[in-house]
Amino acid sequence: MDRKYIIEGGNFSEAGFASSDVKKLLKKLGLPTNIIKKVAIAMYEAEINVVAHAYRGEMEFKIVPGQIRVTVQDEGPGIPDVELAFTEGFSTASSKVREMGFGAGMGLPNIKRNTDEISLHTEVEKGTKLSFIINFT
Amino acid sequence: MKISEMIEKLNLKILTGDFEDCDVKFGYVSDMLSDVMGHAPSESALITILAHENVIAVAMLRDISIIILANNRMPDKKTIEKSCDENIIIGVTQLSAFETAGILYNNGVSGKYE
Ligand SMILES: Nc1ncnc2c1ncn2[C@@H]1O[C@H](COP(=O)(O)OP(=O)(O)OP(=O)(O)O)[C@@H](O)[C@H]1O
Ligand SMILES: [Mg+2]
Repeated sequence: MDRKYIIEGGNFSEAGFASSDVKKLLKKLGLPTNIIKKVAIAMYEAEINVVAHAYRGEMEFKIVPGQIRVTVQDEGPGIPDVELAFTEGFSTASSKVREMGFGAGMGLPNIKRNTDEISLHTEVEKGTKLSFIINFT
Repeated sequence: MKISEMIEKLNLKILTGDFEDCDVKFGYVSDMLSDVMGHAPSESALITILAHENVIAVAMLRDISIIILANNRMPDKKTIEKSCDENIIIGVTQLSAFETAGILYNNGVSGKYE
């Protein structure tokens, strides 16, 4: 059960499509609500980060026995200080993005809190690859 | 608190048409979407001044029952349509977020923190 989504930087009106689509799929498959909640939160935050901070990206979703695996790869500015980026409250969001209600600096911490494994590879001026795993029984 | 009681006590105008008069037990107030994402209880009332379509996506993902727009904030047509599609009620009140939360709280809606 794999899905792939293209994410367009700056396109806030389409933002959330991938996470909503996956949420509907997981509901149909009958996964427990607490797992669906974790996947929805982590995927949405990852999706929005590409829209808000990068130029374009691709999101891949996979279910294997006992695990949900998501990878988001983007072309964008990259993250110069990853530890700082994971600090709650840190944000470089533009004022335009903040007016829409983003930029609390809680996205990456939300992803971390709701996943069992997470890895982030980033290269400044090239892009960022974020992968995470959510286990279920 | 029933949606019908909210309509009466907040002078709430429902923009999404017919609704099921469910009992809302929890509430959350925020204008930052990742804060809502991380902390809002499910099946709750979200009080906010954010009236654009990203709020609907977040409400749908977090199973929020009703979005209460404070200070008379008006969403556009697309946002209302999206909300109808996702079965999320939108109501608008003239009251501020503070006053709205106070009235909900006094009527038994609590702030379970998730
Ligand atoms: N894909 C990305 N590309 C470039 N920078 C990123 C990316 N994701 C996150 N960042 C950087 O990390 C910071 C923190 O990200 P985080 O998601 O925690 O907060 P935010 O997106 O700024 O606000 P929020 O998610 O609360 O709306 C961002 O402000 C940005 O500087
Ligand atoms: Mg973010």
